[in-house]
Amino acid sequence: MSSNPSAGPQAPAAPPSTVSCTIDGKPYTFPRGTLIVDAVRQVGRPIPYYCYHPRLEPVGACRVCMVQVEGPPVATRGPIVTTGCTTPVFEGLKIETMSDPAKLARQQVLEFLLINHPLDCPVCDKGGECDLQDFTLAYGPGKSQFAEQKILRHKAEDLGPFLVLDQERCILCQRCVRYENEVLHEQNLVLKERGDRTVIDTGAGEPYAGYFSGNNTELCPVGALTSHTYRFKARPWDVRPVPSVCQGCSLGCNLTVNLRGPKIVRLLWRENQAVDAGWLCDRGRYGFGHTLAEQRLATPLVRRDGELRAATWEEALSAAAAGLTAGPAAVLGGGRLTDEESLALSQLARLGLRTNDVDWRVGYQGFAAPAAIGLSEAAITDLDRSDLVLLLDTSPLEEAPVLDIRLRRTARRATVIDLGPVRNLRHAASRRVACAPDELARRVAELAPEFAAAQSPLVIWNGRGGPALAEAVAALGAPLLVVGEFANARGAEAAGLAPDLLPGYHAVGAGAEVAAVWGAELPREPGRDAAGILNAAASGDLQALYVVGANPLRSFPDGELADRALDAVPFLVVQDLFLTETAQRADVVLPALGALEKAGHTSNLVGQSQPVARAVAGPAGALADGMILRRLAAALNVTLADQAPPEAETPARVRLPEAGGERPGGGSGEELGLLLRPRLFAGGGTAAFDPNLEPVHVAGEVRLNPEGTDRLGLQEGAAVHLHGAGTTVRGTVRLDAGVLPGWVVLAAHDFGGNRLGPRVRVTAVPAAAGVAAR
Amino acid sequence: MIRKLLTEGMDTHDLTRLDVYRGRGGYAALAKALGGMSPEDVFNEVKTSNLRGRGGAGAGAAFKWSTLPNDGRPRYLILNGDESEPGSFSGRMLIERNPHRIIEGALLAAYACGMAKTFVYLRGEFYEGYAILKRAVEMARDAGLVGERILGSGFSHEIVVHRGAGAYICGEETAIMESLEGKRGHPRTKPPFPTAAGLYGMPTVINNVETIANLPGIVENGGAWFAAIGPEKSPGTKICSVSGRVRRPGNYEIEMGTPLRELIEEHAGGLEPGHELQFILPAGASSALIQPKDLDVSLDFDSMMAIRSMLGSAGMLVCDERDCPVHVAYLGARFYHHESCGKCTPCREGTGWTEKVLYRMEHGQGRPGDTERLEQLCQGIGGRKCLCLLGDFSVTYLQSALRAFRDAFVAHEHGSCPMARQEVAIR
Ligand SMILES: Cc1cc2nc3c(=O)[nH]c(=O)nc-3n(C[C@H](O)[C@H](O)[C@H](O)COP(=O)(O)O)c2cc1C
Ligand code: SF4
Ligand code: SF4
Ligand code: SF4
Ligand code: FES
Repeated sequence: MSSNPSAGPQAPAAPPSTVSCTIDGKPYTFPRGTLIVDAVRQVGRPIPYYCYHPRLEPVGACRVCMVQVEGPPVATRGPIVTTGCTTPVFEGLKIETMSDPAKLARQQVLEFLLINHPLDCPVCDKGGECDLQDFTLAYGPGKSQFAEQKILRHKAEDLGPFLVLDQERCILCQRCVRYENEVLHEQNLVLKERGDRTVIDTGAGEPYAGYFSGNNTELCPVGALTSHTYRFKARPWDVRPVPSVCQGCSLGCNLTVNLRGPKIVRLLWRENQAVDAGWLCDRGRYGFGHTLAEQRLATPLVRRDGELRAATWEEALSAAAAGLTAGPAAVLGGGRLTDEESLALSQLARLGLRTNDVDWRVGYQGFAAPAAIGLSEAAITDLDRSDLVLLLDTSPLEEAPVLDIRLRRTARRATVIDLGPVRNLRHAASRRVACAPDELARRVAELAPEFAAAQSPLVIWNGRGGPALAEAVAALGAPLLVVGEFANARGAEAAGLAPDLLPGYHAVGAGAEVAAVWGAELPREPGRDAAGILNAAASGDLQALYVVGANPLRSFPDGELADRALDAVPFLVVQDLFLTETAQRADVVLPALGALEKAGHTSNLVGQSQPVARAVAGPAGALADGMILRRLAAALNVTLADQAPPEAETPARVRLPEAGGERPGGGSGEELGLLLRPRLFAGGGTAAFDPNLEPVHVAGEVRLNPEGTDRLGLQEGAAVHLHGAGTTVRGTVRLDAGVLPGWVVLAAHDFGGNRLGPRVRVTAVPAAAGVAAR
Repeated sequence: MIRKLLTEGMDTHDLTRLDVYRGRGGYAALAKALGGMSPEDVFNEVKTSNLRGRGGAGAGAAFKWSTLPNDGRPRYLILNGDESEPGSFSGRMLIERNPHRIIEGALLAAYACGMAKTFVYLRGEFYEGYAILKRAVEMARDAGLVGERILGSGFSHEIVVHRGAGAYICGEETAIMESLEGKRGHPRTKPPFPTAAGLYGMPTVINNVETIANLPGIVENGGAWFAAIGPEKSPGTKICSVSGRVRRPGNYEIEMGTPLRELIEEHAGGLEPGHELQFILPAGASSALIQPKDLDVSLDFDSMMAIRSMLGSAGMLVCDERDCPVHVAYLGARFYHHESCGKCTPCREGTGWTEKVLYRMEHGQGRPGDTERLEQLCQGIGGRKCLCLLGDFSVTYLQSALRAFRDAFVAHEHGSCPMARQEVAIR
């Protein structure tokens, strides 16, 4: 339905594009079709509203936005009161926001809204920022005439991992329900019953299952939808807002951190149309619990007598410096640093360790910027225009969730080709093309004519798949959005945390401008990529490894190689927030601060460098990565440059590693091909250690096509063993028709999956063992 | 005056049978239209006839059709057979006993407006009517009257019969569309109006089943013939459903313009001996009540408006001196509280509040100020403040009762009922 009633087919041909009208006696001009509520807001006059929301279609449900209007097309009837959110301005219309009839109508609506409201403001999280409180104060009756029994309903209803509903406080503005429908195209929240018995509930009464529940708590104008994490935690006048940027994924949604004293109590959206369109995902919104997690590293650790023991920073740093310079050393990681820190790490590797053996690519992603493979950059907002989108074996929902919201809107209008072994667009995908990973390049090449014919095509890809696939994508010639595996993959690549790149996309060996800024000669031979580094370590060619904010034991596609490398390397330094599987192997562990605990910039997937604030202090014994690097550099006699080297005129291309871990084939007989694909709440970093995310953490999830699973005796929820080359892991079956038959999908970064090799057998865990394990 | 245009033959013949209906001249109008009339010709006859909608508001049928945009999008026809107004049962009778007349009418309207599909929306409780109408559509399809190339002409049309789930609000024209689309029966804001963007966003005409049942007669005999029946501005007949304190309750098809007194006293047999008319709710619970002094009003859209009531669906609830207006008001309030869809605030909250006050008054727990409270509530809900007309309906009858019988309401504030009610006509 159109939000613009005047845009009906009977509208006269080419009417003037603006209309003039008066608001409270003053003349104004607005674009035709502007709703009265928007017009009044624009000129700075107050107007109450509940169901209206600038990011939702108007419904005219609450009736509180009443204004008086007079003039065409209602001239014959004299002044009437009407809802400002469903009536557009007309030429010559006289709008009165404060006339007696308008005031009375609003007053009556507010009185009606309060009759069944519990008025539990003293214990309501929304108190102090509640539109019902505020508008009642401004427009409501001083006293209620209601002397009957109020309707009693459910309070503190647990709607799922993050949401709590108080049905009594709900004013049925339907913002939540409409958001679910219009924005998400989901129906996680619905209306049930009728009349004043109407309530909000989850669809089938099951827990809220989507990834975007938290936006409901901000849309809700009252204290009906609140979150478990913020419940009873603060009053809005007690909290201090700090604007920042989410680093939960590479999209970089803008947000506001709310602090009460030294603690984060909640994160709120901070609308940036070009990035997030105003939304946050639940990972971003609730993933702040790690700032206070018990398992946070709060002191450096040094291995003595085979045990990691607490040490001072001086001890740890001098041990690290000594170990890293005792022989050839390499650096892995960096995708989670700030832009500034990535640059520091890049310089430290080149000048302090005299090596180009440095790579941020400790996972599946081969490159971060389209320029790195010679393609042009797409803007996020291009999705609002494109007519053809290729979703190349990439799941925006799991990898950059808020991007998926925008894509859903695109999919209503444009052709979206969802190509790959796993179905990734669950909402109105125009075309699903299922194929095995080794067929991707050929399938992409087949799309060339369609791309040539499209007006504004676009490719969304996470950079997994190797040089052949990159070549096929490049041949399409369409702008590219590269979804990052790590939040600041883009900044890491731009800082030259790659064996053949220097900061600013200068090629290794052609870095005179970089050398000038850094004031020293650079090593000239390209280094080894992550696989090369791990192979070198495994075969004894490396003396030391410095792993920064990375956990290759989980993230590297060939986990077995990572395992051998970490075993073999004589000296290992790991810098992280938690004692991850990789950190447990270290000789020196350097405790770092997290994304919300340090200032700087972070580059999102389109290379926008956005400032982040230090909202909280973090554990007292931990240091910001930048500070650790600075001190380590000093110990290595390197002075870190304050200034970033200039960007190369023509960005150097990056050499893509061959697709690791996933080999052609798929299933044969009892064997299934193994795919590791990102899942939002999987992984061993903050997702595993964040108490807020505990209820949604994904581990051991085995996704299978239902086809043929009966034969194997595998039902939804069944406990299974996956037998791979030399190892077995355990998991739980999730049947998913979106998975190509013959393949099994485990979550990337979930422990153990990368040890199995390309082919696995799936067997049911005998019942008794299954029970025992529960 | 009784005048049987739509109900003719219904008492003596089984018109649900296609052969019987055809034997009595049925589908002749369709044959005539498809045999030589252009869609414009049919439209013009309907325009000449001055036929007004029987669903309540009395909108000109041809006028409504004429607002369809000419933009090539598919158009839909919806027949409104929700008939959930208390005391209205004329549509049910037509559906159950003269279904082919409705089908033929739909085909004519669709032919005139260029529609490929009709959706008949039936009240959820019409189990029998649903089966009968569906069977009739099947019979018509087998006879080449519905479907592809009807009667060998170039005109094709499909008819879908849909049963609601039991909601008064689903008789409202846009709530019907939401319901047909599989959503909650919530009315939409207007504009856009259904003819601009209706079912599935497409131009849609919605007409009451009785409105549509008039079309075969108009096409067969000409619009001028129809226009000459009854008052000039409200021509034709109306099936009135009479219930309550009369001796012969039932449906009576009368010529428009027939005095209400004639309907009640002659056709419906008058009141029971020894009892006296107190008031009539002429359009179920959605109209202002009529007092005995207005009994000579002529039954047509405009005359009824002139006495501040309305003809509406002509579901006449007749109450005598035993029926306490407060009790009747309470029943109405209970109905609206039950049926409010809950989408907009004044109706959702106001209908519940109103029922609570009237419940107390009716149960001897009235309080001083209750009457005034009711008046204020009506003021807060009514006057087009709600999203749809149900909100206004919910106060129209009540306001009229408060005007006419204020003393009775005030008496209830103190716990007494001046009517000393013994039994009730409507439950
Ligand atoms: C609450 C409500 C209930 C209604 N119920 C019915 C109904 O049951 N049947 C009906 O024909 N019209 C009903 N109407 C009127 C319809 O909205 C619509 O005006 C009518 O179906 C148009 O048909 P007509 O032009 O042939 O009269 C209702 C309107 C409202 C506001
Ligand atoms: S829960 Fe909140 S957003 Fe949803 S309908 Fe109720 S008041 Fe509105
Ligand atoms: S989409 Fe990414 S950046 Fe945005 S809120 Fe979610 S995790 Fe944070
Ligand atoms: S007036 Fe009543 S029935 Fe109509 S939309 Fe509002 S709540 Fe629903
Ligand atoms: S804001 Fe206009 S009706 Fe709710």
